[in-house]
Amino acid sequence: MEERPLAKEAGSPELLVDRLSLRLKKHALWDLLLVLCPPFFAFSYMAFYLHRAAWIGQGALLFAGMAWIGAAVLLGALRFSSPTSTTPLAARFIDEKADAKERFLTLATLVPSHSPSSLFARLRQEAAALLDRVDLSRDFPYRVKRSFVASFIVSLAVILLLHLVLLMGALFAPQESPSKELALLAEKLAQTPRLQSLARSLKSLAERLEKDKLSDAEKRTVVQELLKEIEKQLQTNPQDGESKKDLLSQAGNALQKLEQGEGKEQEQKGGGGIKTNLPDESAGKGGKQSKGSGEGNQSNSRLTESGEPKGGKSAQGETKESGVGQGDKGKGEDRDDRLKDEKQKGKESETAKSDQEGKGSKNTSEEIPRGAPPADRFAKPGEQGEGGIKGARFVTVELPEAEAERSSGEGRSGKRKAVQPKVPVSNVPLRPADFPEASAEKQPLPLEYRGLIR
Amino acid sequence: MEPEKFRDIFSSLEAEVKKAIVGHDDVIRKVLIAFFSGGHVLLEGVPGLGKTLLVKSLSGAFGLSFKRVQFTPDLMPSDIVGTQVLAEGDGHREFQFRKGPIFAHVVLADEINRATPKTQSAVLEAMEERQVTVFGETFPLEAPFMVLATQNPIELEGTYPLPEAQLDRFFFKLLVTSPQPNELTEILHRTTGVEVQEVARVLPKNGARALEESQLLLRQVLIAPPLEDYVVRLVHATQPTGQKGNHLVSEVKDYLRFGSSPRGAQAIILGAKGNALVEGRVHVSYEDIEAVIYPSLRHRLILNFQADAENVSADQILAALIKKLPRD
Repeated sequence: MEERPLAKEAGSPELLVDRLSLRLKKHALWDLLLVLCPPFFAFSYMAFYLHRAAWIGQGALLFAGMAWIGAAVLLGALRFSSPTSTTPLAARFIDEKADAKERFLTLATLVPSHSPSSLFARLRQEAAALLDRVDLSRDFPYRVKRSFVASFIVSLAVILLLHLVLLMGALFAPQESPSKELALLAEKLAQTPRLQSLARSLKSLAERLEKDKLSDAEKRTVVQELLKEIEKQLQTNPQDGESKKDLLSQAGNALQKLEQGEGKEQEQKGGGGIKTNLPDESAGKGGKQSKGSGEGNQSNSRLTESGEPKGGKSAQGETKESGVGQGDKGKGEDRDDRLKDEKQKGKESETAKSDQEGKGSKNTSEEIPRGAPPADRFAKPGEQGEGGIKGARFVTVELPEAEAERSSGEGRSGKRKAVQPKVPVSNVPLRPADFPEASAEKQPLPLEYRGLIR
Repeated sequence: MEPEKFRDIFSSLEAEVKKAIVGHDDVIRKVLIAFFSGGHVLLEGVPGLGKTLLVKSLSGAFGLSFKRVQFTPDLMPSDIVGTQVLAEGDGHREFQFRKGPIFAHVVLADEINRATPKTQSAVLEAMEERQVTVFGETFPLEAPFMVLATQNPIELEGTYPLPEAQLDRFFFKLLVTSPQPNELTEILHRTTGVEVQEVARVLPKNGARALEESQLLLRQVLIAPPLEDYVVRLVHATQPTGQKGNHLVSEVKDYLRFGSSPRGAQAIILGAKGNALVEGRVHVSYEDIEAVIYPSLRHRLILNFQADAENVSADQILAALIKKLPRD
């Protein structure tokens, strides 16, 4: 078919048809964009959500994104590359608006050279007389089509469905054991070369947990080491992507959960810790005690960004936790302290030495079991003293070394440099009586020895 | 010829025929459109509705030669086309061709379905080829040439329904219906009084040339390709062949034996062009097409037994098609 020459004269019927045709094409483009937009945003949201949740990797995310964009471009190309011209349609619309009885359609579709010129000129003249009946902006405004509404609703429904499915999955999925969770995380971490050693450690821990080859103490040790390793990874590679950070955080959380689980078990068994039916007056003290050493474990709070309660259920039980009131700081301290306690078992002399120097373990005071009343010998007149333990049905006895450490921690009032042990734990002889400060160095008799002496 | 002149001639003819015929405005218009399109018309209606009067009035208004043939069962083809007769002159005898009534500008074939198919087919060549062959000799028919046939739909005993081939040669099939009460009153006034309305000749002596120019102008009327496409799709949709699911309407498959021939599409286009000129336009609109669909196609759709049994007419099938067929 011969191409119809484009009429350039302003106000000609053909020009009006061409303008409307262009307008319709723009409308079609808008329609396409509006139809594609809701699924695009829904897709982006879901992809980002799944990526953040580490369900899909960055590569998969990129691939899916590219595939989506490709599909959209293909759809658009197919839509607009069709040979069907919009000119007859535009002419029909104008005919309807102007009640022109197909005058514009005939003008727009007929080839003038194939038609009698006199009749064609007459038809143009008739059509031109009807031009003032049509105003493109008034008669053909853009209106949002139903397809957009449908697309929007479907996209929204898909997003809601995704959340619903995830929620249902979380509700009804069987709870994975910590070892399996750790193994799963280890697999994910192993995909990053830098984290492969950590992944191996996690996997090894998971396997050992599975086979029940770990004692509680060993487990704690390993968990603490791994937590430190994770913390180190987080600190040393802050430029890591969110997904890696999330993975590490998940691993940290899993380890903490594991540790908490152990604590709970112990608690349920009633093992360890100081148990007393005394009114809990040590709460404030506990808070005080944890203050001094909180700094060292602040970084651990990164692992628990979600703010969910964790740790805190240590061997000392909840009595301590309720009194601490320091949130994550205190919890982190507990963990370190326990670890240190394990390591330093049987190294009392070293501990004492470092304590005297004031530079050794920062958490010396934390090694004192909290929740227990202070030893009777440290009570000032008018304070608890002997009367304080009268009502107690049982007491936990501490070794003098530990007591010494605790007292040294309390005595400095939070200032490590001013450490002056009140209870000598060494066998250094007392100063002579004529020494000016001799009276001040009276050694109180520990309770536990009184019976022996008697 | 200018479109305005065409319209003047058409309006004059229409007005003159309306002097004799009361009502049937649409029939008169369609007959005139068919005439300017160069087609033949089959008028169907019960006796006494003025079919013959209509044709006679038309021929009178045209001022053209007019012949009437009353079709009867014993009518022979030679009675229509003419025959060789032995003529004596100048002392010797020779066969001379004596022209039949077909040699006229306007031929009225009254009650065409009463003649035998052999006789009916005698007009086939004349209608389509506009020529007559007798004893191997061909005689052209003078233009303009138009056959107006009538048939009675009720007295079917002793009749011979027109074969499909002959039906297809009619440009339009028009249904002449009973007049409305007010029209009947006017008919009574005109026909039972003293005064008798005479149809005057509209076209001058050289009117045949003017008619030829009018026919040429009609064929020049502009029609947009989408409208032609609509006609093509419509005619194609009347074909009952093919799988049932492919039909636009189920009636086509259920009630038709044969669909329209290409002549149906030609009739629609030419008729629409004529209608457009009459309406004062030089281009065809959908309205023009729809105005001529029924007379163009109703006799070209061959109904099957089921349609007859269920009293389904071709017009009903066409109405369903028009309703269902999209314009673009």
